[in-house]
Amino acid sequence: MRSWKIALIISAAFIITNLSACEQAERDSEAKKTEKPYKVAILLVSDMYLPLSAEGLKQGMLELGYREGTDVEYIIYNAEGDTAKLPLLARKIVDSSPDVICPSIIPAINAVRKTATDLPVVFLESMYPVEFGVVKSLTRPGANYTGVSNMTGPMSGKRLELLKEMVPDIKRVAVICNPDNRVSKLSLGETKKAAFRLGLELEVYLVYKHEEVDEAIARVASGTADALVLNPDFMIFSRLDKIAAMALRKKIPTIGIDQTQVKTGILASYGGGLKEIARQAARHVDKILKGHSPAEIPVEPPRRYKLYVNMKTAEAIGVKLPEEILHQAAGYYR
Amino acid sequence: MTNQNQKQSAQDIKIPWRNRILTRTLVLLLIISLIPILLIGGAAGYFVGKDAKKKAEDSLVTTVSDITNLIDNYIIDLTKDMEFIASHIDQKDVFSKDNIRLLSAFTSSHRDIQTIWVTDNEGKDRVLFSHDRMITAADFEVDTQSPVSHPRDKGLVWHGTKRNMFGEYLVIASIFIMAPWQTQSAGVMFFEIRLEDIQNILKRIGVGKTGYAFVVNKSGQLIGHTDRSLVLAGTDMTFHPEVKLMLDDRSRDFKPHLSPHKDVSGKALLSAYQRVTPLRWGVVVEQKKSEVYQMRNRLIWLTTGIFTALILLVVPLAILFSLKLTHPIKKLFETTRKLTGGNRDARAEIAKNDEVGAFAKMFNQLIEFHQKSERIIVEEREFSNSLISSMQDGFSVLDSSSVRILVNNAFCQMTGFSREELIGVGPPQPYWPPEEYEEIERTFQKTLQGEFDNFELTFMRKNGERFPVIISPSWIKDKNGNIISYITTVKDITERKQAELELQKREQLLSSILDNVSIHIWDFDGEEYSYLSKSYCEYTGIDSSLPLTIESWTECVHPDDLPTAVKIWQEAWEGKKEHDNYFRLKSTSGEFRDFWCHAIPIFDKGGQFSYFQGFNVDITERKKAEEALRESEANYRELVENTNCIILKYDNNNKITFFNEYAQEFFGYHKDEILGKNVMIIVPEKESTGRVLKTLPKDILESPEDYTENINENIRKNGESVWISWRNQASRDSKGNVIGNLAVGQDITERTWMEKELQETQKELDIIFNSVPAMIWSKNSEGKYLRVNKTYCEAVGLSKEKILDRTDYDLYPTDIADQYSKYDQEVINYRKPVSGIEESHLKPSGDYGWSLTEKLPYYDAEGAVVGTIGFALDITERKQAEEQLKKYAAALEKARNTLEQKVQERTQELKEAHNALIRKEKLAVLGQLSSGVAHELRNPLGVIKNACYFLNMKIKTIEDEAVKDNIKIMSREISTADRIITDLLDFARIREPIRQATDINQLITQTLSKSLIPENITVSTDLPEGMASIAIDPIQTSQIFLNLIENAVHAMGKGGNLKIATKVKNGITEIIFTDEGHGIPKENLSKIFEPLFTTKAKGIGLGLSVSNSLAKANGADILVESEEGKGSRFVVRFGEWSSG
Repeated sequence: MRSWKIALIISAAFIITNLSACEQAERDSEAKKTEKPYKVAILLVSDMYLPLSAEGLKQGMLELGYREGTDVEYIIYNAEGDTAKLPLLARKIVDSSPDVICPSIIPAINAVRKTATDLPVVFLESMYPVEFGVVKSLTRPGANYTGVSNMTGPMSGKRLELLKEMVPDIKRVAVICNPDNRVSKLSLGETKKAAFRLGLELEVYLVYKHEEVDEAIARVASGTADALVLNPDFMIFSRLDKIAAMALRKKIPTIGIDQTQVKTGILASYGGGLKEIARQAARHVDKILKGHSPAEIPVEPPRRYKLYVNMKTAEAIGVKLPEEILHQAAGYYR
Repeated sequence: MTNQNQKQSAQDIKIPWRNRILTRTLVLLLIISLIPILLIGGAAGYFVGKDAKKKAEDSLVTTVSDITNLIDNYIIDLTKDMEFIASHIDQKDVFSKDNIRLLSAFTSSHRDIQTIWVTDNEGKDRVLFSHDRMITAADFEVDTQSPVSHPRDKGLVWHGTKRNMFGEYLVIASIFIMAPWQTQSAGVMFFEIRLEDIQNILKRIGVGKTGYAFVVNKSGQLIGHTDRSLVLAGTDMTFHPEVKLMLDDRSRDFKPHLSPHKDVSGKALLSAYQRVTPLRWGVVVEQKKSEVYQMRNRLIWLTTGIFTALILLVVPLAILFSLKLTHPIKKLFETTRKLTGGNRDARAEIAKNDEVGAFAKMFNQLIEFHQKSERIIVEEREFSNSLISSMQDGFSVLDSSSVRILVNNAFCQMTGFSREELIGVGPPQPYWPPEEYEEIERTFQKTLQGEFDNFELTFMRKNGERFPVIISPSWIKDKNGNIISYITTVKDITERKQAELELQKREQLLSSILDNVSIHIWDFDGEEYSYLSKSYCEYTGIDSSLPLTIESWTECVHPDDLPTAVKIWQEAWEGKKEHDNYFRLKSTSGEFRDFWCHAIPIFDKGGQFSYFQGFNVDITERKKAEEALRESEANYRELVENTNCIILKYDNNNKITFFNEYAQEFFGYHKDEILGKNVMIIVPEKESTGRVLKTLPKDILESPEDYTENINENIRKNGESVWISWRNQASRDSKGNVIGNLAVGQDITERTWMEKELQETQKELDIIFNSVPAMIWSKNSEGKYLRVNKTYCEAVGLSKEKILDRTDYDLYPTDIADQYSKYDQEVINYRKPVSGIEESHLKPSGDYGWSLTEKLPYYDAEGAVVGTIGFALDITERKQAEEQLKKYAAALEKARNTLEQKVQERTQELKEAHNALIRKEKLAVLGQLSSGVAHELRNPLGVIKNACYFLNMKIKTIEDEAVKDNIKIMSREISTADRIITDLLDFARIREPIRQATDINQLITQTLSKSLIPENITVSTDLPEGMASIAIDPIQTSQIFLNLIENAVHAMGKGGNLKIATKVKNGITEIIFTDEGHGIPKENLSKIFEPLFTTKAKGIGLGLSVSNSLAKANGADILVESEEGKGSRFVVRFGEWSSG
């Protein structure tokens, strides 16, 4: 009886080792990834980008199979609206030598560029990567920078057009611009061209400091403009609550760039979506972590441009949105 | 030898490996079991693998087909929708709001359509819808990369792809704006379509882990890929053999293909490809072969594994089975091997019911039978051997050639040769004496002829000694009558021969004895003496050669004895009886001697009387001895009868055999009453002392040496008990055995009683002696203890044995022993008792006790002093009580004194408290007053000080020195006043110290540098280095030092030395200021720290008071010592807790 048992145990053990050997061989190929958590450093200009760029990237990475903590570690550096802090944070990031650096918008990208690091950089949003010299070309970035470009700046004219479509009666449109931010300035140019085509007058408020944004908002409120276009600028966006409140109070139809702005009460937004773009950039990070060179990974455009509208705001400010706009809208806030 | 050969050959039997049954069975079983397993395994592996491979490949083809179908469907849907739009658009005003609204609605379900523009019939381009361009912008500019040209076909035309700035491929399609029922179109509508949906399709249809899918346009450009980056990078896929094949194939019906190839890194891939029909795009799905065939490989592995496992299972099972099958046979073989190897206990233990089992049983039985037979043979052999060896006669066996093959021990012992010397030896045998060879040979020949008589021969022992033997030969023949061995029994007849010789000698001896003995022997037949011994003849002088009648006897008998002797003879003759006769016979010398005659009638064989044989023994000497004995006995008896001792004798049975007259008188028994009676008649069973005497007489007989002297109680006839001291003497027979006891007793009844009484008295005295509560002892003249009572022993805690025969010096410390010995000597020397001595003694606890002692001289019978007798009473407790009483008295006295002192102290404290209260009040008033006054005074003082300063500046031009001096005086006095005010303020508000670690030496140095010290005063410091810092308020402490320094300076108006020293002692830091000033009068010493006490003309008496308060606040004391005229010494002591 004992010999029987021994024979059975031996054969069972043999079958099990045989099978597990097969499984092991397969697992070996993918196990490399999880040897140690990768370090991804995210550089943000202000808190606004925290739920957008940072969360978008994390979501995208998770969809690609990177679990936070076990497969990848995120180190988030936030300048909290103070661009002066960015170079220092960028230096810190480079010194910590992460596997990938992910700056969010152009001031952050520029701060990283100033460190002249060779580490791979995936930008989570860049409006004019070629114009700013971040990459040589979109299809072949050529150096250690790549990422997703959202085209928000070039789309400034399109936004004004959409605003006009939504509220055809508008005549004077207010634009707040931070001339220190080149993106803001370039966007203003687009807006100006579009205004000319659409036969609209522009009221341009230049702001250089945070405090001036509030003044500008007050001036817009007390001014003659019957609409407001928000062009990309982190400083202006940091006062979004005030802008939304003012716009609602003064019944000024306003168009922004991201759906989160619509959430806060802005009438509409049009663009690639910061969170979506960051999520899309996760693929770039993945490729780099898998050993591809950033120089060979083309800069991608956003998958889609999406129009979001806030129906509540529309109602509150007495705007009846035309049918074609409602057709086009990817989402409504009610 | 043959047996050994057999053993050897059995051990040598080695079965060749391949011939072993087990191995053969195993191999056979293995082959039988493995063949089908391997066949099945191989077949299963083949079929499973084949099936899995096909399935895997099919799956890849299915994937490519699925993707292609999805893209086809997508394009077809898009085409239909675009055609629908083109036919439903308002042609009258192409750019109308309604058209734009329609397009918006259309693009909301086709989000891949990036831009829609229209070229009207006038050739004007206008964007009607765009996701990224303004529709209100200027005319549409055709991209240089765009393949767009004006279509000729009215239906939907696919223009091909173009890339945007990001490298994305956009597909452009066009269609005429024209309703089906119309012939004229309003223009051409262009669609710019992004391929996001195609990208999504590729992404959605997963191709395993290593696989990917891609789409190429008809020129071989990568327009869609699972990895979007490759599309954006713009990859030309024409290098791909399958892509090329696909592009070259123009046939309409393109079937999905499968082809293996290798990627850049050389890894084997499997590609499946298919064409998207309407646009002639190609779809390729590629996957690593290893992944494609993963399942198949896994199945093959599994199958292999299972079959290997099966083999592994079967092999041991086969082994087990074959073992089970062949084990019994092997066991049988092993058993046989063991048996032949000599192990007769080996058995084939096979508990099986099959043939092998039955065979094993029979085999075992056979062995049992064989063993049994062997055992019987051995037993019989042993029996015959033991028989032979136990034979007293020699036994030997010779074989047919007369060589000895067997000999027994008796033979060996007889001849003195060992078995080894005899076995295997042929004639002549070593025990044959050479001189007897011939005789022995002759005898042997007789034997051969069948003569089996006993032959008497002479043999020779090994030592050469010859001895006679009787040999009894015989032989054993085989079946054919041939002699195979000779058996000889040899009997040593040396002893018999010797006995014969001895007998002859004895006969000779007897006759010579008979002739010479003094006993006369005679034979008489009634008429004549047939024999007269020589002694008879010699004694009587009869000539034995003559015929002798009865007269020859009667003539010799004493005439007095003759009648009796003749009478006895005649009676005996008539009756032919054995008889005794006594008579005197006359010797030749005429002397008559006494003879005892004993005669026996001799009868012949027929019972007829033949003659009387008799012998006469000379008993003259015996008679004489008897006579003497009788006489001595009479004397002895007289002695015994007349002695004053009890004499009795009793025999082994305790029967009294003798009881002398005194004894009869003493015990009251008559001789007749007691003789023959048991001796216990005069011995009680139990003595009055309780001793049991029942066995006493017997015990005396059994061990007479233990009872040579014995005292015991006896009983007289009248029942009176008496004590007798006995001396016992055992009577013994000729062999020394005790046959009785002779006891001689002395009456000691009276003495015994006296002794008893004495003992009792002694006992009583002892009880008294030991139970008296006083210690009693006696010592000899050397001081050694002779007796001590129990109380004494208990008092000193020593046992009696330890005390007796020891002196005080042996027992106690010298001081105590001296004390005892002193009084002992006094008593002995003066022969007078000493009483009332209070002595100390050592108690068992080690403490000293007290005793009241009386000592008396110890007289012996002659009245000489031989020692001392002492009595003592333990008075320790009494003494202690006395001591205690004394102590209490002293304590009472002390308490009384203390009480008085306490009263005085309290009174003093009350006084002091009263003073302190007054002082406190004084201080409180001072505090309030001083802060107010000081503040008020400071301001005017400041003004005055400034005025002085001003004046001083101005008077530089004035020559009058007196003015200058007065101003100086003013300045100085202002400073003094300021100082007083400062003191006042300090006193009024001493703030909480702010403690910090401070180097005290440094603080002193700093303070000194701040102080104003006149030139006539020198300062010497003793500040040792390395002192630990202490936690104090440096400012306040500095002020204390400053005050003390100033006081010292003031005290030394005439100059002197101020010595400042620091030291640390037991954690306490001391700063000592010693001056050589006028000192402080004793009566002032206690007051110097009181506020407002001063002896200085210019002080208000706050300096030391403030210093004291500051010191207290910093956890320090200020001590002062002073001697008037010599100087003072102030010591500031910082407590331990402030260090750190």
